[in-house]
Amino acid sequence: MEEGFVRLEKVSKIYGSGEVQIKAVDEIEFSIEKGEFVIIVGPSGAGKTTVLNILGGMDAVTSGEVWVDGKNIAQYNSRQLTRYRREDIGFVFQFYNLVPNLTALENVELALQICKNPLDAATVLEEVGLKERVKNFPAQLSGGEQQRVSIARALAKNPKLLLCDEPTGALDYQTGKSILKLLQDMCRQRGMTVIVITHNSALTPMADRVIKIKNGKVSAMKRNETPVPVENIEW
Amino acid sequence: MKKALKKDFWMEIRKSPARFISIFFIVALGVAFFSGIQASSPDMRASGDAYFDANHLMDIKVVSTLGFEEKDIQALAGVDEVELAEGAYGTDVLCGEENSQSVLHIESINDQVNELTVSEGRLPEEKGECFLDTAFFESKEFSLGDTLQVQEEGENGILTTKEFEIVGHGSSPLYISFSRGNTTLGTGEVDGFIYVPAEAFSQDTYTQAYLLVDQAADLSSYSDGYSNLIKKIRDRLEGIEEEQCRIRYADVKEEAEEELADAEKELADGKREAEEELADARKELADGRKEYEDGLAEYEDGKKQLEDAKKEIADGKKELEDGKKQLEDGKEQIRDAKKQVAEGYKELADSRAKLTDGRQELEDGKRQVEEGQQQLDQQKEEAGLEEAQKELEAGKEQLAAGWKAYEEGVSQIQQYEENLPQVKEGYAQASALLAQAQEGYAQAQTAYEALGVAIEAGIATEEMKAEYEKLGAQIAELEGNIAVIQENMATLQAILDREEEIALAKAALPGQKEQLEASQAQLEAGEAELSEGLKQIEAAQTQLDAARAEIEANEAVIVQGEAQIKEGEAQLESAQAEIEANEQTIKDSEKEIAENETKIEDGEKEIAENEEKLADARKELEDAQKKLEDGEKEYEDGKKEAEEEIAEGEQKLADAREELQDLEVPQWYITDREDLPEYSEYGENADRIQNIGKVFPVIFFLVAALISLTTMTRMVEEQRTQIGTLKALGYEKGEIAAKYLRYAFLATVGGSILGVLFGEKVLPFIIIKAYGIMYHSMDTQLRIQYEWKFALIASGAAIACTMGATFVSCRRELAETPANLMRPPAPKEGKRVWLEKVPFIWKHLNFTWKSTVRNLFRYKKRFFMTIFGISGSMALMLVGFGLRDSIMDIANIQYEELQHFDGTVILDEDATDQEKEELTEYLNGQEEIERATQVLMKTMTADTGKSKLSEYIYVPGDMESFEKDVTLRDRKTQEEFQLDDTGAVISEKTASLLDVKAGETIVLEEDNREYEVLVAAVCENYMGHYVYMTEAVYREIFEEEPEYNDILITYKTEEESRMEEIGQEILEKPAALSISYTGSIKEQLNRMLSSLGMVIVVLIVSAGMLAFVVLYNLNNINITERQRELATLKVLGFYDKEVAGYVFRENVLLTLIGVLTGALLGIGLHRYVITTVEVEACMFGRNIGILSYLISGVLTCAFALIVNQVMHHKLKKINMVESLKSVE
Repeated sequence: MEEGFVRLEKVSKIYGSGEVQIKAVDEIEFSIEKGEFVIIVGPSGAGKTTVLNILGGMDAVTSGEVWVDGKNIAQYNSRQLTRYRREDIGFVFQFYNLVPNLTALENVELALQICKNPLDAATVLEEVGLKERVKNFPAQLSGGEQQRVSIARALAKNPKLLLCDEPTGALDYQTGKSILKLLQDMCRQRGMTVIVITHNSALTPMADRVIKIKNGKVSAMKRNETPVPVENIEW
Repeated sequence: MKKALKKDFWMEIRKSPARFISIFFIVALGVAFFSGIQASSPDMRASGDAYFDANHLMDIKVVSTLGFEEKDIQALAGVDEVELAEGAYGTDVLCGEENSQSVLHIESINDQVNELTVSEGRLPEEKGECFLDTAFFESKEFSLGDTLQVQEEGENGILTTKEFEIVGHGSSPLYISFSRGNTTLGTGEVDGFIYVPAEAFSQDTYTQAYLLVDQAADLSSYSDGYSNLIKKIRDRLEGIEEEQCRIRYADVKEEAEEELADAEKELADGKREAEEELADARKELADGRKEYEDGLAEYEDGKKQLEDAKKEIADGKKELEDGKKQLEDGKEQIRDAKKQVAEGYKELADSRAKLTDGRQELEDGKRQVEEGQQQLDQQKEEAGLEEAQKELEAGKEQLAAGWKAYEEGVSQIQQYEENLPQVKEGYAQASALLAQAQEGYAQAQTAYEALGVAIEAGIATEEMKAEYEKLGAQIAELEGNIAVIQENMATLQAILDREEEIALAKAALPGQKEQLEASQAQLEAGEAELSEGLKQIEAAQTQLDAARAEIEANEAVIVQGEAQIKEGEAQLESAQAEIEANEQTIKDSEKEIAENETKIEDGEKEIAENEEKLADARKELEDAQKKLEDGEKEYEDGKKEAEEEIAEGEQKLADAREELQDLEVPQWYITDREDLPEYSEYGENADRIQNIGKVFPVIFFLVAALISLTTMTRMVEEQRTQIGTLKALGYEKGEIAAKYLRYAFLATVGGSILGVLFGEKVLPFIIIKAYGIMYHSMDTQLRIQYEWKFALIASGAAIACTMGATFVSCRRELAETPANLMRPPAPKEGKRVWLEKVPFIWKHLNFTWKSTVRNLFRYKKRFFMTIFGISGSMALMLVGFGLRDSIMDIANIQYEELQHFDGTVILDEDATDQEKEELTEYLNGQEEIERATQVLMKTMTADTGKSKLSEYIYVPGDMESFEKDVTLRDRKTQEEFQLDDTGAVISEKTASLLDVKAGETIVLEEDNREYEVLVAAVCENYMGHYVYMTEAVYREIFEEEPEYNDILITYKTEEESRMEEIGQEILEKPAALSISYTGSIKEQLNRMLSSLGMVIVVLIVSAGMLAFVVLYNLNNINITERQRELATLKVLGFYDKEVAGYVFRENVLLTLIGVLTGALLGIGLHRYVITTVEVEACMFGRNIGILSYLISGVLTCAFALIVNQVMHHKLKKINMVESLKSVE
């Protein structure tokens, strides 16, 4: 646990106050190397989303330290957290969360206009395979395409960390697979650290590192020396 | 309801209190405003009516030109449905000082009608007490217990006392506002009322009667029912009028005829008596005159004699005067001569004194000269000049001897020095000789001795004895020689010894010389001194000699002067003598003159005596004449008086006869409440409120309904998933929809109830209280009732709107399958908007702006709802401010810009031409009146089909003045135009009510005759209806000459008090009946409109509140709807500000668009409201001031900003976790 690009140390998150207290995350600890493709897996209510929220700077911890690229974001105030999200984090939502009246290109550009050294929006969209649809509005795109736009939006920010919350949750099998492949490819090609949260443990073979969470604690963490390409996984 | 659904329902309200409260309050506001304003008008009338009923305000007032007797009152009371009739006395009186005279309407206190309300003190009980108008009481700063003095005009006063103690003040239901009616007295306006007990009036006939009508109290004063009832009774009264008047006429006539007969008899007696007395007097006068004339002749003779004597005396006096004058001249000359002599003496004395002084000076001079000589001599002596000269001489001799001695010394020394070698030589020779001689002697001696020894020794031979003797002789010779030589040698030695002495002397020589020279110098100095002294002495001597010479000369002058003086003295003496001689002559003359004077005085005295006698005679004569004249005058006066008296008596008789002949059958003036001052205005104000209530609140309500409707629709749409779930669970459509319907129902009904409860109580209260500022007593009996009609209309409409909208949207949602419902709604397609086709603009927009613009256009419904909501509120505010603009200015425009005259003098119709002429002359002559224009002003009616307008026919007597009195102009173009013979100019409101334009004709009615009038132009006018026409047009239309009945006057002064003073003077002219002042009409109008101003404030405040609630609600919807989007933006790392900007850009745009469209909407609405609010008699302004646009716009924007500020907090609280949720 000594080194690591992302490192959580005794992180706890307790919701509620007074008599009813729910420990969503209980002194969780893990660490992730740079450039790894990480899958955090666990059943519903295990605390995956809380971990993601904490990592994404969307929620504050109750106690513990969260180190990302040498900085403890647990101590950030809300403004620092906003900057952290703005500059260091890319987020892929389960339901894409695109702005409905901006075209695909504009949706990507929307994210870019607030970040420091973005990539070219059109190029990124081309990379995710949407060259032909840049001028379409979200409503004119399929779910998978919308998610690709969402990924492009996250990637174009050139973030340190790409967080994906059930990226295939709302997609059919094939599309889900292609999205995962896209994520894996991006990780490999760009050397980006990607953290995918899913409840589907069938996906774990494709990850460099698998972190299993249960009842707010890390129940197992293993480093997968030979990750399997997603095409070879069936579920 | 199922338990779960019930719970869900309550949770829904708890969860989204903002939405529930929004609907609740918007509905409450709308309903409150609508029903409140609507209810105000009936409440106003009801409150007014309650006050009238409580104070038993009369329903009908009857005034008879001949008054009423008790039996007339009985007759009135006997009319069907007349509850009671009460007689009363009343008249107008003046009170106060000349400059602050006020007119009071004094009336007797009624028993059963027109009950007074006491503010302070009590009602009067005794004859000398009175009850005063509170307004007047306060304006004059009276206090209870003060006495009030009043004067009646004319001789036939009807008051028995003119002094009243003020025992109380308060109000009367006859006067509900500031106006107290008009009068023929003082300024023409009544300033206050005063009530006194009936005993204060002397009349036995009542001047007026007040009637109460059966059941009238049950009807509302301003209702048609009441009007109809009163009209019915009035008709009945008119029915008995003729009969009653005839009876009254007969009574009065009979009485008068009797009086007339008595008077005629009295007059005849008087005439006869007077004639007899006059005849006696005439005889006495004739005798007196004769006596007088005799006396006068005598007097004239005496007077002539006296005149002659007077002339003689005058001549003598004149001579005497001449003599006196000569004498005076002589005296004057003598005085001059004396003066000259005196001056001569004085001069002489001066000269003598001068001479004496001169002599004295001379003597002094001489003495001084003597003294000077003596001094000089003494000086000379003292100075020892002669001795000095002698000494000097001696000195000189000594010096010369000195010099000689010195020179001798020198030559001696020289000689000595010259001789010295010789001497030395001689001495040397002598020494040598001596030595020789001594040797020879020594030899001789030796030889002698030798011989001597030899002799002695006898040896000696005689040759030796002869040689001895020879040697002895030789020795003796030698001794002699040696002595001589020694002597020489001693001498030489002495000389030689003197060498030293000589050397010394020689050495001393230069000193001696010096001494000598010094003494010589001394000597010379002395000599110089001496000669100086001599010179001085000589100079002094010269001076002295000169002085002496002068003195001698002066002495000569003095001597001469003395001679002259003597001569002068001689002359003066002779002059003196002459003067004395003349004086004597004058004295003689004086004496003569004095004698003559005495003579003349005696003469004068005599004359004076005679004159006095004459004067006495004259006086006697004059007295006689005066007596005679007095007698004659007395006679004439008596005659005239008698004649006048007779004539007067005859005139009176004739008048009385004529009066009797003219005595018309009396007439009744039947009036009712409508004719009370400002009674109808109050009703009109209520109408105005009603009119406002017809439009303004409707719009208000529409906006409110629309917003609640939108909110409900949104709510249903938002809960699509839930609806789907419920549907999928198997709930029936009705059960699902019930939740939303209930929600809407609860909010709307709750809001409605609150709105009705609040609005119908508070708004009428505020409005009635606002009018209470003007109608003092009208808010004392508040009757604010719930007007269920309006409450139900408002609530019903609100409920129907929201429920309907909820129902429709529920039905639409429920029509879909549960599966569809549970799936997120197919997102609305992003659409390109037209703006994108303008790349110039589009490319410069960033994504948030692009999104904003697309958002605006994408949700068209929301867009239009928002725009409508904001613009509706903006329009309402604008209408509120616009109403103020339109209404507040009309009094000023009407009476400053359009009509410029300051007052209208109403002429007495019965005045003679002469009286009218007199008034005109006065008006033209009065310096402070700038101009006075005769006009014909009469009322005719014009039928609009719905009502009859009363039109003022206005015919100016002078076109030039008319142009200064009235500005005719077009309201829109502000272009002025002239009145000409092409036709009449009518006011704008008339034109619009009759729906005519220039070039068309209108029909005017008078006494059931109709006249067609061609409209030449339409002019701007706000108060009343005017038909302006020239004389020519008038003649053409009415086929008669205009008879001018009013005079419009314009003052030079601006001062109101001065205007009133002049007004009083005008009213003193018999031709002037009364005056109305433009200023007070304007003031009254302004007062009336200012209370409408309060109402407008209510409107503006309400509109502002609505704007706020609308904006809040719309923003709330906007944010709630887009929570997910906003959360996503936050996750993407947008700062709070950027997120807020993303939302507010839209709001700001919407607000701006809303303000702009609201301004447009407001203009239309304002126009509509104005025309609806206007009553027939006036027109309000049509324009909204720029400032009103600005204020409304700024207020709307400010509300938007406040709402945005509130929303900003809400935005901050949006949880990012929302973004992770699925789409609902």
